[in-house]
Amino acid sequence: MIKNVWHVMGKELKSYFYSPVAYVVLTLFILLVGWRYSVLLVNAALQTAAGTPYAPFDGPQYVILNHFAVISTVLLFLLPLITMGVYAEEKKKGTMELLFTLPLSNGQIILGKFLANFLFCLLLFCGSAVPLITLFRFAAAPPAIIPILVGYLGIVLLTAAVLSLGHFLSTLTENQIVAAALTFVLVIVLYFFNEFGQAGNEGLAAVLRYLSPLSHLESFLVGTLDVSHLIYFISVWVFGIFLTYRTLESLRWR
Amino acid sequence: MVRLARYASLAGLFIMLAALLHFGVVNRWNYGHWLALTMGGVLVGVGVALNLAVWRQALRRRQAAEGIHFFVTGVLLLVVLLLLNLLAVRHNWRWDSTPNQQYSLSAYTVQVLQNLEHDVHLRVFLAPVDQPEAIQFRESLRSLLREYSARSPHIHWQMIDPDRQREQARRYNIQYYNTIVVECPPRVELVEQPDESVLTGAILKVVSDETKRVFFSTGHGERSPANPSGYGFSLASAALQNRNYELGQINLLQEKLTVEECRLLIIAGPKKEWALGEIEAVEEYVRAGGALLVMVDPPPDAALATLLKTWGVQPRLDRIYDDSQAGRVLGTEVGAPLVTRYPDHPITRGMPVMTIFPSARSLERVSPWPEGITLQYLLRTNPGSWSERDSPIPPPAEPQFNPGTDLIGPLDIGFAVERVVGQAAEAGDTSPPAARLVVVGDSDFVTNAYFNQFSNGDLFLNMVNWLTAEEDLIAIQPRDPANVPILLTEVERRSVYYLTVIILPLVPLLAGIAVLFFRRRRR
Repeated sequence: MIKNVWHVMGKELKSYFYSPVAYVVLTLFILLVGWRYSVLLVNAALQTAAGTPYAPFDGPQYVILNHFAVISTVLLFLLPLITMGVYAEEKKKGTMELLFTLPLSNGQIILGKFLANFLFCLLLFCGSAVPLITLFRFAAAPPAIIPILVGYLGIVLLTAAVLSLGHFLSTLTENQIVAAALTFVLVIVLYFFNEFGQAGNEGLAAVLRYLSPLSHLESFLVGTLDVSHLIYFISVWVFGIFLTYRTLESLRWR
Repeated sequence: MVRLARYASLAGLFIMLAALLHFGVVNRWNYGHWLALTMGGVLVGVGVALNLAVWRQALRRRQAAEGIHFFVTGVLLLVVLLLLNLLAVRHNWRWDSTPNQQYSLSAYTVQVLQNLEHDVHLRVFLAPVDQPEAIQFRESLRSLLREYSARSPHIHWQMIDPDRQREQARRYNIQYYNTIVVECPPRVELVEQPDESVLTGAILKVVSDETKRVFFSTGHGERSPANPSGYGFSLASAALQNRNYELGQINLLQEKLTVEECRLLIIAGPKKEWALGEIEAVEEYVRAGGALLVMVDPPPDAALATLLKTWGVQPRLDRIYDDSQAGRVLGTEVGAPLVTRYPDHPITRGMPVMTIFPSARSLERVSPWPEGITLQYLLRTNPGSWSERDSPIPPPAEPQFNPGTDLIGPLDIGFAVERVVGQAAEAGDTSPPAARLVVVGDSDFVTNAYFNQFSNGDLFLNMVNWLTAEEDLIAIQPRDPANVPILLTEVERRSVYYLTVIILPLVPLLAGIAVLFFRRRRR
């Protein structure tokens, strides 16, 4: 079982890294995040220079929080592009039928493809974490490492949840652009639920806020780990994988 | 008939959807919604019933069976996930990984919350979130409130956008963003700089039946809390009464001052010196744990030197003039010094705006230092200020600094004095209890003419709050963000730029080129 998952994942990863697309995405992501990071660091240094001794300014926290905000915004645009081709491309090329003839279960196909995407995203995050090393050199006191790791855990959980929804939407169509657009719209609607749900903690506002991944992400970014937020991301991931599974079942049957 | 049935089903679905949408807009469920849902359901049912043969045929197809299977398992999974989420929210467990436990409550707050017997409503009037820093503030506030409500079923909180819900903002007279209204009818308390210590303090205030009594001394030409003229304190006394303080006046020659009856004694600009007996009465009151706010004006007014000396403060026989840049820009009088920067003290923390002190005298620390006393300056004039001894009355229109005789600024005009209870006192010996004093070299800054100028009113109210604070509450240290500067030279700035914008992105780019190159060569 695991061997088959491993096999599908390896094949997917090979297809990314034997084409220039993966390198271009990696380069652009690291360039964008790195450029914003350098601007943030300079801003923090300027604020330090301009600040009064009576108004405390936590430079590293300012940089780290804004850095996470940049990453989560870039993910909004990037994740739909990563998931768009996973099934839509196979359907268009007609390789889906070929895949079904192999001795692989739907679960193995789904997990293999998901893990390939997920590992690629982890590589992106590793690249985005490298600039943070400079904080240890230039901040008057080095930032605590564990809250940064908790923040990254939030980003990783958000990625897993959005990837699973993106995979489901990719099974619905043969057109990659449509798949990307659907995922983008879904994610942006979910992101905006957070804004709609700002006014109040009761009734519909609370439900909307709860549905938005951003409301759960914020807690991770400041360095706290709530079990309720963890359960939310796992639930979305499970639901996305379930939907993908059911659609693949119906595709296989047809 | 088939068409009719389809229309009925569609209309039913439409009505149900409209009811849900309407609920989404008004955010309140009522009988109308139930009625619309029932009507819609009946219409859908009628539609299906009228078209039963077609439905039956469709359901026999494999596609339909697949669909139903999909739907049922989907709904089942959703229900399970929903229950799991509900359970996690109700019994949330949190791990705070920040070094100083920035997002966890102190033991004292937990105790206060567990002892609550009445419902307390917290309404947060949020600032618009258009900056990532605002996210941090909002998240820390939200997590704080979540922790509060998790500790007591009597805490109910709500986030309100004051720009969208103006009626609410007007009802509580909200002046600033991020104000929390703490309400336990009939008491209401406004918290403008929310952190754990002030929030817990406000909750204690609205639930407690005790009103703190503040007395003004009389008999020496002091400012009157009832005087509505520009020289009076009527605005200040109204502001205190709005904050649940009970005010009174006391003549120490006629009445006895006790801590049980009076939490704070305000001596506001006496014109005549005090009798020895009166000073002894005040000393005894402070020794018993009473708090004191002393405001002394420039000579020839009373300096209360004998009283203040035991607390480490000595008013100088002078008058301060301020010809600083800030004063010139604002066009204030030379005789009214400005304070534009504040130290990190509970009274002045977070004060955004300057304060003005028309005709002030300077204060100095007594030497040798009285034992067991901590003294911190609160108010200090700008570098462009100076003080003159024996300044003529009325003061000259254009005073000049005389290097030989005058004292050059910055000069201290306000001190916060505390007698801290040591470990010996806790062990039960005869050491005096903790006491608090604030001494200011001016009383005009609280008068009606100046109370609403700059931050004068805020400063006075902060002083009273600090002086009358519950001793336990002071144990809650507000978790201010740490001050960690980032220092970059021009060379370092450039090297960070090269590292993040050129070197790091080059790594995957070069790796990509290498892989593609070797793959092509292998072919």
